Amino acid sequence: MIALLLLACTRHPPIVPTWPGLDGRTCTDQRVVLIDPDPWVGLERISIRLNPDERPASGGPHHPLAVLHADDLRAGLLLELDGDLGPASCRLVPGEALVEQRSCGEYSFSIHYAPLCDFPPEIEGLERTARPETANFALAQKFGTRLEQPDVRDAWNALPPFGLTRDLAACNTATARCDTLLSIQQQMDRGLARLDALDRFEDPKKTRDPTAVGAGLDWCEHALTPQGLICEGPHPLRDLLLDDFLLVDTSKRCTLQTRSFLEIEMAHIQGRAPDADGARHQTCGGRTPGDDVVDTLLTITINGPDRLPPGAPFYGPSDAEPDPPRGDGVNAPSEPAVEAFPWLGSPRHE
Amino acid sequence: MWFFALLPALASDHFDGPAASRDPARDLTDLYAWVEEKQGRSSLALILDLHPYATHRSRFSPDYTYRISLRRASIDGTGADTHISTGEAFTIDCHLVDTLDAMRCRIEPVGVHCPGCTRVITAPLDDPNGASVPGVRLFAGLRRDPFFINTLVVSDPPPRAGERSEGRSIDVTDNILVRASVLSLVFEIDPQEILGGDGLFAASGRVIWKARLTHTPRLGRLK
Repeated sequence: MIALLLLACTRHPPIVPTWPGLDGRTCTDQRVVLIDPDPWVGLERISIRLNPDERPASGGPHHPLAVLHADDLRAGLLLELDGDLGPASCRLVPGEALVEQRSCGEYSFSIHYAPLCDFPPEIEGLERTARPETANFALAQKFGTRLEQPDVRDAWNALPPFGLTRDLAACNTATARCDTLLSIQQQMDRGLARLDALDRFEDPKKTRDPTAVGAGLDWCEHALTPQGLICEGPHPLRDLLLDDFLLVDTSKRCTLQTRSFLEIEMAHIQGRAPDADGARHQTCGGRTPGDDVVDTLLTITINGPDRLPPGAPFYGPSDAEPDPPRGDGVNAPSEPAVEAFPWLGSPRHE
Repeated sequence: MWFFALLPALASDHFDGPAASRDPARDLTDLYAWVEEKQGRSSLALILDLHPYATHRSRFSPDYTYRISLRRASIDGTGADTHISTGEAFTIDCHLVDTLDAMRCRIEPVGVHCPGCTRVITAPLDDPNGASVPGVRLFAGLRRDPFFINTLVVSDPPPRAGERSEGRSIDVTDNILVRASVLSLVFEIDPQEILGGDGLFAASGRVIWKARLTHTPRLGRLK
């Protein structure tokens, strides 16, 4: 079972707050206001009016409030999730508590909670996106293959975007999560090899014999398997793409049309020389609305590293061209992004 | 020569899995992240798009939290030894308000108790002006889908930029998303004010279930 901590505070010590000025001498009741700052939980404010009989004669550790314990809160705040999560459930783990007196007899009791949820690994999340087309290009079962293999895209989408390569390295025992990760890893190796192999024979009249000279892969030494060509080891882009995020540098600027997708990553893979600031990349990276990411991804995966211009990006600020440039023939959106927030154009009227 | 006509399955992350295709309100299509200059400072633009081919009747779902995760990152090494590490995290969690006519987002660091660093912003849906709080601007609503692709892209022999396989010239209608719209969450974030300064960040978008309290809370001895 995977514990998914969604908020910051995960400590759950006994809460023995110091109640400032708690005397109740002039108040008819005591009121504790519990403010949960987490809209994810949906709990915003709970007021508890104390029974006047419980009103203390004096403050201090003997007051009933002073024995308020984290476990009391946790026992009372149970979460259930809607949907098809099956037995998955969440509970709140209280963290740091802050108590302040708002007015006579009224205390503000603020606490940060960490919803602690047990999810089956395959439904850690519902959907994820960062680098475009990765799932469809490298993991779709219908893409470039006739193989009957499981569609792992839903499982991949459900995984967190960070740390999968680290999790894979820690997979020493067979668990459902590790099986899922390994299956995704294998399919990504195959998918990237299929893309790499598309240019094995630019001339369609040439032999398609995968054992022939020149039938190898651009990114790696190839091995021939019943499922086709794959790299002898991991595909060099596999681990880079397995953790799914856009890498963006806020110290560099882009425009709406800058071709910056994968520019930071490729600057390192290509071993470009660092600039005066120590950065190998030239753009802000990430992805701009006008970026032709399909051309970029096809060029990188099909051509391999040796046919990309060395020492400079093959897009963006350089005029260098890969050999040959790959693409889908559509190089810009039908209507470009606009220069003012929120940048994307108004929808068409139906 | 063969082609994989995957229309409309192959379009960025549009329809990128069976489950997502069943519920477009959870089908994330694209994440955009770039940096512009605004009044002499860097400004991080983030766009999370969902719901392929959305229309004016399309809605965000109240059942989901739409999340953008940001982590400080570093990249080291070259060639096959290139390695990316991530560290300090920030989350942007968004969900519909109870009246379903506005999107509320909470931007905060994770792992650090830092009340002054948190922002909560609520923007009415489809208001192009969005909403602003110090360091953050938000828009939520229907927008034109900026992604573009000709899905007849992968062929044998492989495609070359500027060529179209059937020999006819390329025009704008080859973009299968030429008339498409999406539901968008658009952010403008001041990295200095919200993220603790400029640097390298890893950004990813997610949809997760929105948890709801279904039991009346009970506070132990406080009755």
